[in-house]
Amino acid sequence: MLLDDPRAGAPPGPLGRIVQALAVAFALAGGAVLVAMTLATSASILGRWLFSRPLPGDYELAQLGTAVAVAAFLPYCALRGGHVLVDFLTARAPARLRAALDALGNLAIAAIGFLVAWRLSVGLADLRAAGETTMVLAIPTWWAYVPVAASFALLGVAALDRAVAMLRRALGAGA
Amino acid sequence: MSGVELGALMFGVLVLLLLARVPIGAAMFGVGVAGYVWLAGWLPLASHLKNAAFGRFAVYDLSVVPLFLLMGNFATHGGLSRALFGAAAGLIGHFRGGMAMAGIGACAGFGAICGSSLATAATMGQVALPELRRHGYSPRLATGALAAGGTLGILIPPSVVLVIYAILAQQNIGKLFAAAVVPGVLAALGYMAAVAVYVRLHPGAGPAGPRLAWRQRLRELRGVWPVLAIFLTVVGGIYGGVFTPTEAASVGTLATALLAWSRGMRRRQFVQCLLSTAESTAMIFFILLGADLLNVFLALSQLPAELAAWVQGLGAQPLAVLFAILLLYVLLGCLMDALSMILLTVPIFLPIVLGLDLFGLEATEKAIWFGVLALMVVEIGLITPPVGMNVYIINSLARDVPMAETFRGVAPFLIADALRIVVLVLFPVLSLALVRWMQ
Repeated sequence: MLLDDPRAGAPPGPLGRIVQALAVAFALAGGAVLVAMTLATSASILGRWLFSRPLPGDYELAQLGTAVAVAAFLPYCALRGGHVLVDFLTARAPARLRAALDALGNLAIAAIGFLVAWRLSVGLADLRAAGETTMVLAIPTWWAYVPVAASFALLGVAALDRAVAMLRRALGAGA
Repeated sequence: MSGVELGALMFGVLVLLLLARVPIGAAMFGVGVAGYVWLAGWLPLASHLKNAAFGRFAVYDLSVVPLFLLMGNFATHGGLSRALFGAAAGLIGHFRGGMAMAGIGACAGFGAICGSSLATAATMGQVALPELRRHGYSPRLATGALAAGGTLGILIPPSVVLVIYAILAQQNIGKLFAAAVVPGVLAALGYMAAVAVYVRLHPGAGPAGPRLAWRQRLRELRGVWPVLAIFLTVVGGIYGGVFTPTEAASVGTLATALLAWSRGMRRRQFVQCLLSTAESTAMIFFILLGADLLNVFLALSQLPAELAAWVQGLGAQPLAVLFAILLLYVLLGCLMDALSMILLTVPIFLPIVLGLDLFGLEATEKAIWFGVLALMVVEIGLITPPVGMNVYIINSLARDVPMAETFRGVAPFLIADALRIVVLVLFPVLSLALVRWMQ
């Protein structure tokens, strides 16, 4: 259940800085979407109370916003080693064995990231062709798919970068 | 191989993957994908995945999860923990053990605007632990009380785990929050009673603090009213139907942000709040995505339905079955975090519980009540060995205290937990009265 902690001295991966900067940028962009959501929702409540006119489409904006924000958070979390795991058997295992297992775990996350990004981009093309839009504001749904698919692709890259870093540590001279 | 056999086999594979340190979300996702492909083939899966991730995240009710996390982060940076502890210590610090009780009370207050136990333990620990030590409290009592008090973060609504349960069990979030209020208050009172009993047995462990004049107490209390106002707006607003949960969380987040700003949060801390919200949100939603795939496969395998039918066919005492399930949660809690346990088990256990005749409750009430019970038992995992995260967090703040000492300090609070859970099982009305009254 312990988070594997990058501050505990995990070496940076081969793409280190670039992935790091991208992941932080995605996370902050997601945070901005979240903050915008709270403002829009609060404005909608005010509108409802004062003029009995809520912001049109607040419901669907919150839906799309959540998906975009949450997906944008994923690469940052992966890079920080923030995904929970069970540390019951391995807590006292040698550091190299743990690093090797963590390399595998990150490979699994990377595989999921790339698989989902690929399928989402197919889904995106379908939605675009079908011209599906949201109910109230008529926003094309595929717009929201673009950042989400990109986030999953970046998740794949970030996890891969970490997998390489962990593998180096497992093979390297002691840890 | 039948669907049920495959489901059981895949569960075994999942356990092996988890023990091999595969991140919980990834393990669930992988097992779900493999089982799905086995039962239905690759094409249906490929088509499911075209929308699954987006559909899982673009849920209106789920938007409260990142919002509540952001709100908790603002509360952490806004120095609210200090105000809460100051007020509680001013009121009851002069009793024997009163400072520890004040720490617990302040945790409860913080839990009312923060949906996460780890955050509550970390913030309150930083404020209250030095104070307790300064007043001569034994390290065992001081660390134990704060580790246990931290669990109130999630036991008292708003609670992220309850939101996820509500969505899994298709129940109303507002009703679940209302149902958790009385049990949450009982938890805080039970922990305070545990302190009272402990200092009676070990009088040196918790010396009385200074008694404050009422004028001073009132001054301390004035710092606390915004917390109460925010809690009432959020939880009351959701239940009273004034707000949807998302609206309440938005208003609460905005109010907490302004409060934190007025207490000195600036751009640097604001960015820190966003990043730490990003990390915990992603952690939760990655598990959610994995659990989604796993549950699609499990539903396909018929395992949950068959298991529920089998348990019903046993003709066992319904209460015995319920207690067995709760005990299983406590054991699982030695391995996993609260949220993963809920996501992994609710699709399996809820049909079983709904199939039992428990005090003649109807399905909705049973689902709400079971949600509260499950919340209580999964939180025990935060303070039990081998990996009680709250114990780790508090212990890391007191480097001179051995870990075993903190685990020993938690013991009286575990007894309080066990007693409370038995009472809540035997008297469902404690959880359901507020829900019924507000209807």
